[in-house]
Amino acid sequence: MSEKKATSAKFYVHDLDLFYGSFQALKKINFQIAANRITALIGPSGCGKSTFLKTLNRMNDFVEGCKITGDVQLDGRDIYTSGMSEIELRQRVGMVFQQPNPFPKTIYDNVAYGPRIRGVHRKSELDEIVETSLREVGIWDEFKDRLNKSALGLSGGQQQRLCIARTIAVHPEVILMDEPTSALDPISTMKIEDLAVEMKEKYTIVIVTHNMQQANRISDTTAFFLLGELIESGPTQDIFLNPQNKKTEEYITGRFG
Amino acid sequence: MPTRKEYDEELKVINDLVEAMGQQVLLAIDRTNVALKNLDVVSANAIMKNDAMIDAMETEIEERCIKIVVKQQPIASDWRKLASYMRMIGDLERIADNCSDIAIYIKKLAKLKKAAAPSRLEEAFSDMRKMVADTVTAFHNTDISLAEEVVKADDVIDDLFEKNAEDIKKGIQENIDDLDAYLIYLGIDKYVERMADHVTAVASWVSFIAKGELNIMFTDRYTKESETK
Repeated sequence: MSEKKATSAKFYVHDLDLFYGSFQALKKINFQIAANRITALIGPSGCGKSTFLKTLNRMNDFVEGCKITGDVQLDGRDIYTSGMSEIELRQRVGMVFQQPNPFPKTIYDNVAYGPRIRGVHRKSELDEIVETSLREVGIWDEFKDRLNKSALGLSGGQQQRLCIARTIAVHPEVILMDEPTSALDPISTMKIEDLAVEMKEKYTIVIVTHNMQQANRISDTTAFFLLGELIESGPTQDIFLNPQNKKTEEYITGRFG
Repeated sequence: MPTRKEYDEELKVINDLVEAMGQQVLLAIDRTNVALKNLDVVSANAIMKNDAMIDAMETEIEERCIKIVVKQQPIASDWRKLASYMRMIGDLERIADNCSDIAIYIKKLAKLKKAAAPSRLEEAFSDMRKMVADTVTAFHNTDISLAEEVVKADDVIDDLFEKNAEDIKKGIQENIDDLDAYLIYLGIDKYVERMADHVTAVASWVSFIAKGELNIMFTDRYTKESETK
């Protein structure tokens, strides 16, 4: 893999191929992800969008038989070949999943978990990280009097925001979101969407979503994947008003047959 | 296998209704033209009565557009069509109103001593009629180049309006007794020019549906006029 200098993009992906055994899940993906923007990845189930998302913090490394070729650069450094540790990578590139997955611990310990394993042990420092993180996701006032209650007792929407707080507690630069609202009600969904839009000032956000309106509402750039290929990408309003590729049009208008 | 069958069917119905409204407006223009040539009061009354039917078409299309937008959340070319339909039908309805406005003038003219119509009023009317007919065709065939020709043709009508106004001015100077008739002709001349403006907007929306580029052709005449001494 070459070390071409990326542009101002946070992620620079060049000729990315990904195989699960003999099955090619991603085909020659060329794509740049702009810093401090929300990028939405859309496409039907099995199109490769989640697989692509996971290549950005090497989550596919856990999959047996997974082989990757091509460049995936974060700020100009290849995350697969430059010697960047997975620990460093996953600190810089956090992830939020479809199902809220708080640890079976207290609210406080969920947020403090990452900083603790990164060596922060002073209570005052941890207190500050917990408060700042919870404030940033807008749930400090709700939770400040019950930080020692189990996170499992929270609603789905609260759990998801807690998971986002847990992600940002280690000061990532990029947050990957894999269908973060598909298990949530509309109000909780709107809160997460509002949060994502607020957070893009500080973070680069990449979101996989099956919800076309969600992609349209919150993202700056949209990329459409189909059968492992990146079919079309561009400014979200162009994709949703005037897509250039017929397949994109058929998919986003719900006519995909 | 295609999905969203009911949605596609409703989109087709709305599309066909817009086209039918365009055809009805064209018919109103033709009737107005004949009534104007013959100063036919009966036809003028029929044109005005028929206006309610065109208004009703506008309302029906508007309601269907709003309903499908709320229920189906259209995007991409579907949204471009629906957003355009909602603008187009407003302009088509205004053209039909202008036919009725002319019909009112026809009734007044019929009561007056016959004065010579401006020499190029018929030409302006016929050119405007062609613009509407071409727009209906461009809409039916999604023909961008024909829609763009319509947009260009508007300048010709603007020019004819000025020439007719000059004719009317001369007519008044030479036959002051026919002042009332000439003022009516000036009004008709202006209505024809406005009808061409409305159909220019409709043609621009036809182009938007096909190309997705919002480039609505508003007249730059006001800017030019504002810069003249």
